[in-house]
Amino acid sequence: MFQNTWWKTVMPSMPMDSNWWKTAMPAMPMDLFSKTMGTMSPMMNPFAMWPTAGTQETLMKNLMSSMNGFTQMGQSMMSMVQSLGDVSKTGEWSAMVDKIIEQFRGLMANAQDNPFAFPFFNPMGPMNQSLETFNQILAGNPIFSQLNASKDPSALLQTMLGFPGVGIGREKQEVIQRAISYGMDFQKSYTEYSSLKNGMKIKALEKLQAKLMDLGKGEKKIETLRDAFVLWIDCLEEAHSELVTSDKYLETNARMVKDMMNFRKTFQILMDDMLEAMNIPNRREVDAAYKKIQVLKRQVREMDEELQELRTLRIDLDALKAHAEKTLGPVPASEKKPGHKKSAAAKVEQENKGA
Amino acid sequence: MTQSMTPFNIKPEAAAKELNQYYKNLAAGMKTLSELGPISEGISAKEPAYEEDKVVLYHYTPRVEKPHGIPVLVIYALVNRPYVADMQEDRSLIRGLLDQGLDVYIIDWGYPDPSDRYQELDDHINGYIRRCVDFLCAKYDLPKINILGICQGGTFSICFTSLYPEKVKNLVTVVTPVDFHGGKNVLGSWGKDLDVDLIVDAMGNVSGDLLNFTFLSMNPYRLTGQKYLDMIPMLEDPVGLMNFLRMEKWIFDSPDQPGETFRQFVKDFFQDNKLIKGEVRIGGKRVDMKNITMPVLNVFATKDHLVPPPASQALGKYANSKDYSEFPFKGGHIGIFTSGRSMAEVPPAIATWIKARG
Repeated sequence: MFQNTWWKTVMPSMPMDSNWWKTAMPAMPMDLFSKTMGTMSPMMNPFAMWPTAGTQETLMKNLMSSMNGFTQMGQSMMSMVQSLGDVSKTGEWSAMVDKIIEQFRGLMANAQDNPFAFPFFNPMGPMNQSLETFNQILAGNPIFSQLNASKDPSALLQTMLGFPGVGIGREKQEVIQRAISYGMDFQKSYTEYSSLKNGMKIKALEKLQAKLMDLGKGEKKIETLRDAFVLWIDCLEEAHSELVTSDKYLETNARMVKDMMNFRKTFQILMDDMLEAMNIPNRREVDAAYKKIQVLKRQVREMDEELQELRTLRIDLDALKAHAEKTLGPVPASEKKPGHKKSAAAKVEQENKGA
Repeated sequence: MTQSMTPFNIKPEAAAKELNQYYKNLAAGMKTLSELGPISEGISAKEPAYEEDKVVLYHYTPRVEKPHGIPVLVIYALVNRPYVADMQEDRSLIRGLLDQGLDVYIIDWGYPDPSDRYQELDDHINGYIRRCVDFLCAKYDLPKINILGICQGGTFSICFTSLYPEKVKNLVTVVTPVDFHGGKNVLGSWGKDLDVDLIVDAMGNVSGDLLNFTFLSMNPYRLTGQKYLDMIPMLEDPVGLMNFLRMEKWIFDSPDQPGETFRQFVKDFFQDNKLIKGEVRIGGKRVDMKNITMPVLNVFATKDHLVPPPASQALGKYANSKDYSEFPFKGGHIGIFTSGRSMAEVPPAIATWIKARG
């Protein structure tokens, strides 16, 4: 995802501004992705302010968002069509699109060289802040002052985080180091993931350019704003489909999810320890209880079914006994086996006799 | 650069009129939306027949005086809610089956919460499904009943039938994956390299929101952008709008997945494709599709992007039934439940097939 300011800085009056992205994706699935995976939750970000809860997307909000984007796209298209002027000079419009794509591609290439250029590629909000805070904490430290001078600051930082813990708090220290290390891994892999997505958008632009060129040669033209919008969506979907089935995406996605889960799991350990220190039940304890409950539930059901079987057998047995006694006569008391369990009715009868 | 004419033929007045019309529809839609009322979850009348934990076995009210003697138990997936099969009056597989004279039950899995995170496939198949089937057998005094499994519920049905063939009279599967590596399957390829153990260990239950996001990611721009723009022209039509909103409600009504069930299902079925290899073990018992010897009807959608036809058709190869039939429906994974054409084709096909086999 790129920032609106980029477009405004580089291409102030270009028709293909960021509103096209908003038109296409008003619900911003990546934010939902971040929220779903817990990266926006307070647990993931101890350094930043606890984020507010995400607002529920309402139907009208989606509709308004789509309409706003569509309207702005329409207005942009109108100004672009007007600026094209004389149709004999239509070669310029494709050159204009070429220029946009080249500029965007250049911006992406430059940003990739700087591993700390996270804001351009990392729309994770609080995660950005946490890393920035971490950088500030480290800035005054003589060991880490060499970080920025290092050729590979990430590798150096990872090395520092790999130092063993010492002292009574060594295990906690190592968990914290692991959490930060996983956090950095996640930053890196998420950056790569976002980069792939951004590359996809460039491809979509190229596809759009190609389709527009084809349309220009043919008889069929784009007659309505909706047709233009649907064409743009088709290009995005095509480029997206090619991306998400590629080996590079699958590998990057799997790695990013793994890094995210490692980070989340390690942070959960820290959270659990903190809650335990405050004598508050934590996730670890509740999960242990749930596990025991599930085992007990299965045992109870198993026993219940066996009991039901026994009850059925008991009924069958009583019926068989009654039939046998009717046919052959009652069994003499002397022939009854010791330890024979009397039925409730027999017990009552015996008590009455005794009384 | 090859010279070409501009591809646009948009007149400013027409564009302005187009935008204006959209805004008019939007404004009119505010009134329609405010008067719409609650959005139903299924239209056919039903009553709970058996309940256990969050699982409810519902009995649909028969729509004929004397329904078919052997009930049909519909087993739906854990992902999404079963009312997609009963969405509206003229788009309901359940209504179609009831109109054809079948006696229909359905298992509603409910909404798992964190206390259900340690539920396994064993609990679902050897537990809930088996006890629902036993309940129906006892109620109708029958040794076997008919089973109709939908999507992941179809996979569960196959597992159940393999483990308890003596309890199943006829097996119907609808858009059911059997060979999880069969055909081009985006979901399968996404899940292939995921560390599911780590995901479940970190998250516990897998949230419904995450599943929603995953499904949206298959066509993100159409499903989050174009769809809502296309909805605007229908805002003035209360009937069309309600149908849209029912589908909208269902799409995002995704229960959380119990962690251990998710772990085993993704690892054993999606990643390792153990079902067709005969290596799935549920509660220690091996699932062998060769035990499926009763009649089988396999309904699949020819344009299914979630369960491609080869993934479904593999059932014919691995089941041991001498009476195996297929019913290909020309449509998609959801269209088989919601299109008008499917209602004319699918329920009669299923009902006719079942009745012909007692």
